[in-house]
Amino acid sequence: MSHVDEGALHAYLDGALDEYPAADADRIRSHLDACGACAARLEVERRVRADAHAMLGLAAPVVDVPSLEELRAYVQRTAQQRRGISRIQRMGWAASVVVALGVGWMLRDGQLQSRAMDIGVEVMPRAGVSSSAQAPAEAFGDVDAVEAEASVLDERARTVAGSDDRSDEVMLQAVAPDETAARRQAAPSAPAGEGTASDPELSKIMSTVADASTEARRAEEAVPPQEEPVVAALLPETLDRLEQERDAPVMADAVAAPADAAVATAAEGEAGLMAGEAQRGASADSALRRNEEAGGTRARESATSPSAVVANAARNEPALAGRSADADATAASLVVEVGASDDEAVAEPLLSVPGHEVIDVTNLGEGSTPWGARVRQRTDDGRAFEVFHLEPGIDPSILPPLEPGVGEATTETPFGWVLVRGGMDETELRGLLMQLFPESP
Amino acid sequence: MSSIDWNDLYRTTFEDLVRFLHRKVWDAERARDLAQEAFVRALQHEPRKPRAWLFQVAANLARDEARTVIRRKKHLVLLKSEAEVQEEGMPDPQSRLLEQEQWALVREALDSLSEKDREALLLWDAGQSYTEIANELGLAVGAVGTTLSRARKRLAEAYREKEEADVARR
Repeated sequence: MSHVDEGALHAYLDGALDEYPAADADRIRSHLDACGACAARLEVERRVRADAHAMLGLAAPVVDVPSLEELRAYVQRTAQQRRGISRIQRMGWAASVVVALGVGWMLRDGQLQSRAMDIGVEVMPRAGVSSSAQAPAEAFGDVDAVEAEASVLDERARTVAGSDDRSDEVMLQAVAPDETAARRQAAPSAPAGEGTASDPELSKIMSTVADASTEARRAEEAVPPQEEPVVAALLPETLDRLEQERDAPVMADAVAAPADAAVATAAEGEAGLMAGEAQRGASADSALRRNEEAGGTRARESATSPSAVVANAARNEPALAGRSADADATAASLVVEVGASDDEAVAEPLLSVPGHEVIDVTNLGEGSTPWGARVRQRTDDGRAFEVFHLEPGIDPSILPPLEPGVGEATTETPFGWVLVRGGMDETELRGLLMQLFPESP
Repeated sequence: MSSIDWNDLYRTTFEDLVRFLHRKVWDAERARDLAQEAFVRALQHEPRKPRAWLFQVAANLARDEARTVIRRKKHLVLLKSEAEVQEEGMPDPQSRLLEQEQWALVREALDSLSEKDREALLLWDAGQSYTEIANELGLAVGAVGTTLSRARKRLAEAYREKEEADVARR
């Protein structure tokens, strides 16, 4: 009868023979009982095993076991945050789509006319707008304190962003107030044959945007099922508000370059043109008239326009969707209500304060864990302010401290903290904050 | 509804998991951190074979940890702050130095093993059964004993060699 090998001896010592086939285990046990040589080898292997165990024991840390309940609570907290993160990610993706679209659209040769019409203003000669070309840059000179804070946060975001490309800064361009976006959608946006999906260049852009949108949806689907917000119908108050705002100039229709590029862009006349468009005072009324004249046909055609693509891409992000266009919505400020029941419906805050120029949108986060978003905006008179959306469970203390001269208005919502910071008095900041909740009582 | 007895699994596995991870990352706090992370993932996924799953995830986490030199800037919120740890009392410097030297010897000895032998030894030391080790390493159950036998011998030899070399240096 053959002796037992060392592996079997260790299995015997480890009490693992039961995991062997029963016949093998029986044979090994019987042999060890009967064979003196193997019994002696067993003792040698026992010491080897004990030595190795002792050596490993030298490197055993003292383990402080946290409570399982703490872990469970942590899992619950992160699950809640993931639901919130989903919203922020949607913001980021939708903003990216808008950026891609905006850049592609604006770079088209000879399309200034169509773009100007697309945003609902009359085209003016370039010479006529040069005087206002410096406006955005000058405006930034008035808000050093806010900019300083922004740069601190930018640095922080870059530091913690890691390799997660979804945390990269995205700049939201061509984002207009809700109502003007809708009118833009329906307004005659380009001469026949231009600015439609039949244009190869635009088709390419749209294809890219559609791919990005698909990618965004895939990324969303990779996350465990979440409670999706339910889009409610337009509330009468929204329509009233839009009616009141009809006569307001579409200043915020201006497309702003990001802060650090504002001067360069303005020098090239791009921002100047935008500012000029606004300065010409093209009113919401005129856009609305064109909207009415164009009627449903134009709305249907524009379903393939860039704005419609944005609307599709941003479908999951109500705040942005509100800024893009729903062809049938003359007022695009969709109010989203989320809640366990109809009785507990709560309005989700808008991403940005309507009626003010959006400078950029930045995802804030750490690695693959975003904890919020920052939207930088500018008032008509050039004062910058910031809107922060923090994920549920994220405390505002995570933000950099306020710079001297910068005030803050805050509110906690079921969707996390929302803060507005800027060099304004408390009443004005509070007013801006409240505009993020247009349907709040 | 989950059929996993999480309390029992946690009680019987957490320390093993930390020990297993510690021999890979050689940082007690980090090992504890990763063990928590593995459990957090298990709680989220509720795997069918949670114990084996935990060790697999832990091994992957340790591997990722080794790949990325960059330490995480922020530990899980459950971890105590440095201040809290200090309040609880750290070992005196001499004990700590001795501990570090022993860890270094064991680490070097373990490093001298082949990857499969080392993994089998660490999994066994962390309480994994032969069947679990076999599944994890793609071995036959009967080969696990042989692997462990070789690994233990090699570890003991390497440790003594390095200990003697260490003494000779002083």
